[in-house]
Amino acid sequence: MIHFDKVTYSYDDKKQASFSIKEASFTCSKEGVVGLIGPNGSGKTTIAKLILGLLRPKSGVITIDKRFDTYSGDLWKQVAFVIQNPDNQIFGSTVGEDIAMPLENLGVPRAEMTKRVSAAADAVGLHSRLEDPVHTLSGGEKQLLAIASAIVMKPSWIVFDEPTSFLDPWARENFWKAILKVQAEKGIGLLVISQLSEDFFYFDHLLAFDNGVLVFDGTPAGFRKNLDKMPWFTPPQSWIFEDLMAGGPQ
Amino acid sequence: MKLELKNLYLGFGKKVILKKLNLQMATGKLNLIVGKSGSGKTTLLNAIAGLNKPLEGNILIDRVKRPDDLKFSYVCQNPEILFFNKTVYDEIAYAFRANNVPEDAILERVKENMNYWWLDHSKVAQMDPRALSGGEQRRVALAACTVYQPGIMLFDEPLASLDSYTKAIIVECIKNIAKMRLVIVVTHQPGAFLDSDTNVVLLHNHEALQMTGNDFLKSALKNNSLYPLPEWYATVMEPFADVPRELPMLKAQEVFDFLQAIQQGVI
Repeated sequence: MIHFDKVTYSYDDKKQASFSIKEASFTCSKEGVVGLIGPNGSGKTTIAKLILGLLRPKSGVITIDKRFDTYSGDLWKQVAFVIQNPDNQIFGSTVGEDIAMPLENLGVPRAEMTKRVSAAADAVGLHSRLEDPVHTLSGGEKQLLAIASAIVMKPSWIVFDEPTSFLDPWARENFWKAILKVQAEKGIGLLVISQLSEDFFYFDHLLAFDNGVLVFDGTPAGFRKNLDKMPWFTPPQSWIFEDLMAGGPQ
Repeated sequence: MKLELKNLYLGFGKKVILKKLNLQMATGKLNLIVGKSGSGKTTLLNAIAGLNKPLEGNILIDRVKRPDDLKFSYVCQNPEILFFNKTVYDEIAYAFRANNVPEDAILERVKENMNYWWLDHSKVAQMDPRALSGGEQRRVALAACTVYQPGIMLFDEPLASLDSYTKAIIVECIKNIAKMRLVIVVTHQPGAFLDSDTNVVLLHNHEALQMTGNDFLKSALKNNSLYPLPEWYATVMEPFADVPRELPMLKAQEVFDFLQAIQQGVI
């Protein structure tokens, strides 16, 4: 469980961002996928960085699985991060080396490392590619590799920052299949930042931010009923079509 | 302006990525390149930009071989990572300064282009471009890359990671440029750009299929391995894949109007 209790944050260097997170309080459970949405500049990535412990709240407390808060500096052990462009987080020369890298940094014994790398690759369907150079992977496969490198650390949560924005429709589908399988098999919590309406249908719990303020916390069905309060949000065309067919207001 | 690819083969070393490309693109209509990751979209864009040498074949501009000093704009993926000036103004003015345009002549053109991309000169010109929101950064990058207004403009995934508001602005701006210049856009979100007469280049199995937006939708409805359309659209429109008329684009209102017209016997 991720719990924010009256968390505030502002950038000291105004050149970085002019907004601030204003007393955000919410709780996310590991059941289902949590979607973090909002317009550009609303604070989504700042929230992700707070969860990861890369930024520390100015006030308030962040708790993950009731054990860690930001002030202990331990959040990074609980949460893995997968960024938008997997090329920016691939360091190994082969698939196996890349997955093993965080374990090598922690000095995990070789036998255990081999086992964990193999299991992580298996979880995302990259087991047959372990020896392949990373540059031979497609964009979608690189994103799967980034997921494998995240789950090898046995995190409690994985936070994804716009993971599908550079993927084609086929790779987007594979991405969602892979992470839902990882969640079902390993019980890892998933929090996904996305602007793509196609991703919207995978979310079970929505957190919407606008200008640093949490403006919605609830289910997608509840969000849909409150669209008038979210003028920045353009509904998916399928929703608009359903409303038109039902003779509802647009 | 007209761009022709004649029997073009692209690849690296002995590896052929695209073969037998015979394509035409011209000013006036938006040219979209779509296809799976790894199908060669960026490779094709790079070849047009002159960054990849073709293995075989020719690229012609207005019927003559592509000149080595062809003037073009190229907006790469995530163009904002290339910001290297201290202010938005300096970033956009860079292309003029690099070409020794006098400073007093630059101001108006920078203002004009900022305005075109919905950037408020009085508010953001003196800001650090990295301090802006993601949507503003993308528009600054687009303004900086297009300010010199060459005849050919290439855009690689210009909509990635943007909210719907910024996407709508950028689509409109790019479509308007395409009326006057040769514009080629690589995208995984063709629905945002698609019109019935858009020139779509679909890369599939190392080859290119060139078709109108309307034919692209019909082909994808008949064979979703060519390109997977959004589920709601595919479900509703699949029975109409063969109708001898133009299909609605991937917009709810257009599809609704189409169905109403069918029901009323107008079609």
